[in-house]
Amino acid sequence: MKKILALLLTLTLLIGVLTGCGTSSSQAPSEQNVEQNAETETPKKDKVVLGVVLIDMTNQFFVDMIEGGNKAAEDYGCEVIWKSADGSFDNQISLIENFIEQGVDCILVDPLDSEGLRPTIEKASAAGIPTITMAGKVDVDTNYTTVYNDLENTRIVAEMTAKMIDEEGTVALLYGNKGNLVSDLRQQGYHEGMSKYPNINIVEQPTNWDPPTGMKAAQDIIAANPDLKALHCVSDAVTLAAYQAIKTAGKEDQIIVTSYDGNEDAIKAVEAGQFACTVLTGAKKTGYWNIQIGYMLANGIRPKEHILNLDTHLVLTDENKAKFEEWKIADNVSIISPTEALKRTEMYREELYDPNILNK
Amino acid sequence: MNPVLSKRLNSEKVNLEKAMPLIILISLLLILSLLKRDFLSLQTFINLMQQISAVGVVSIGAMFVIISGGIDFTAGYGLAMIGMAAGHVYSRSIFQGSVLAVILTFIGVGALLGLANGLLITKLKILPFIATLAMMSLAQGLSLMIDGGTMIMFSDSPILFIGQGRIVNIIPVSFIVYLLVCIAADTILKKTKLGIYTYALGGNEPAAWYAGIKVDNYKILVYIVAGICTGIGSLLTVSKIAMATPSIYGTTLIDAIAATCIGGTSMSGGKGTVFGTFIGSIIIILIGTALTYLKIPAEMQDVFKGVVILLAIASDAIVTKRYN
Repeated sequence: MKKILALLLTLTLLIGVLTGCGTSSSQAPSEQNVEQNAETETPKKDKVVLGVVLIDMTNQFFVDMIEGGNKAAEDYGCEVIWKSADGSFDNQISLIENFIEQGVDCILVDPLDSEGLRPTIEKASAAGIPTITMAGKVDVDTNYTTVYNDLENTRIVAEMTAKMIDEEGTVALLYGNKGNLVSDLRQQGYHEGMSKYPNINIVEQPTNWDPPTGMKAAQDIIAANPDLKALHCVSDAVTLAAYQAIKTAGKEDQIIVTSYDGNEDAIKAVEAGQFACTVLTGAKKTGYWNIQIGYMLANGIRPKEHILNLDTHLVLTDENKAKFEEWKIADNVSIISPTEALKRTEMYREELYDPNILNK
Repeated sequence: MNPVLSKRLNSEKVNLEKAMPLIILISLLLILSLLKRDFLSLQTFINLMQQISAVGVVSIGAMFVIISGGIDFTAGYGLAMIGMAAGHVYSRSIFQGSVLAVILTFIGVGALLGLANGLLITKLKILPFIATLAMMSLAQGLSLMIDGGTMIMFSDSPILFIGQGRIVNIIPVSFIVYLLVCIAADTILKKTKLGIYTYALGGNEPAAWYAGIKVDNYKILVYIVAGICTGIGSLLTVSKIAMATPSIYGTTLIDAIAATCIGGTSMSGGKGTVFGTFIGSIIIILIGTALTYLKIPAEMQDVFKGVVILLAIASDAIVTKRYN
């Protein structure tokens, strides 16, 4: 018995150490923590409480988004409860219903299916809770949609790629998964951009937003298409893994890599010439921005427009920027250099924070 | 029945059962190369060797547990959690950049995870299904807590040699690691007490207990072996993609268990071989590669995968039933 006790004690201790070193260096709440908060504490009425339902918490984009969102919560002194639907639409609905029952002040959701979510959003509206659907439009009076233009951005990236490979050859697209709105938009944008060039052939594979799956897909595509000229992937974390496949195949010079999201490592890859471009939406900024709007809605402010746009930037080296302008693919696109992009990924707080936000 | 005939039939059955995974693999290869002539190229084999290693090692661990009559669901999120822990050691601890410390973290945290599973199952008498499911959730939570779940890049680390390096420009280092794990596992199963008792546990646990085997201790050891395999699997994954993030679990767990099944390991325990699991892993990876080569649309991919796995298991069951 003593032995067992000793073993169990060691185990608890070790797990404790492990968790300890995690929480000390981070502010992102774990699911467990969050759930406890949600169940044991009834939200205090004097503090604004926002409930967020994400698709998945393990993806790098959402991890960054939570970090940014928590900064906003800190700045405005509100409480944010983060929940993960673990990719399931059923979970998403029940999590929102829980938030309605809990009586939070605003619910933010990254919808897995915008149309299907409508009845649940109406329920929230009836309970007097304003909602934000991120990247998916739901037509309910108290609902606001926060978006950035994934479709148009990806279309521009695709056209730029087409020009870079002289408008012919095989290109690869690694998307997230079918039925996911963000993935679908980015996939559609890429196809639209390439549709103008009949000599370009697209091969595509799903990755489930998961780096190892993305790397295997890239490896197989490269083996199956030895003359592959370009690869686009809808999310930076996966692109970085796919790039490892290109590197091990020794095809860095042959394949043009483009990406999306604008995380730091991807921006550095653009700077080093490994990626031709990425799009800076900025996950942290997206998180901050959404919580900020949620905070405004919770305080009774109702913006006139129901669709709110976050500005995005194409990250290109000066050399590629010059070419891009020469090709005249699109006007009024904000193009920034990697150095500028790196600065911006950290500056989102200064950029967005507004102490007088409630007086507007 | 004539005893001589019965004996002959019996040995034929054993042979066929053992050869089944190989027959499936060869038929799959034949069909694929008929459908797409350039499928069987050197590049396909290099890719296969690199892609199989992580899933292969994890499936060896899964095989140990399944032979012993248990099941282990921690391999998926465990892979991610171990990767994040190693990433923390690599980038943010006092051992920053130390290759040895990072590798020890992979194996150590893996072993710890296995130990926790083993203790829950033997000392608290929780069913393996429930215990490892709970640990899976715990591992997922932990993977998000370590450094806030932020992606850690392993750029220019010597560790990348394990996942990306090649010997004489052909054989991936990760494949050699996988082969070593296979040889070690085969030796353990055939030559050591732990191996023999693993089969005994899955075959008939009460009998093993009556025979005086310290059932609990060996069960814990089996889960530790599985944990170490998860740790090595995590090392191979992280060093291959040059990053650790909480989302690296992918389909590893499902693939590993499927590979074990296809390889002829009995889900009710007591039966299974390293060779079978090895072939099973090749089949699983080949299915994935075939999806890309044959340009099968995304909507059909999971269906295709499911059908091949079902066919493999069904043909095995049919053969077994016929001889019984």
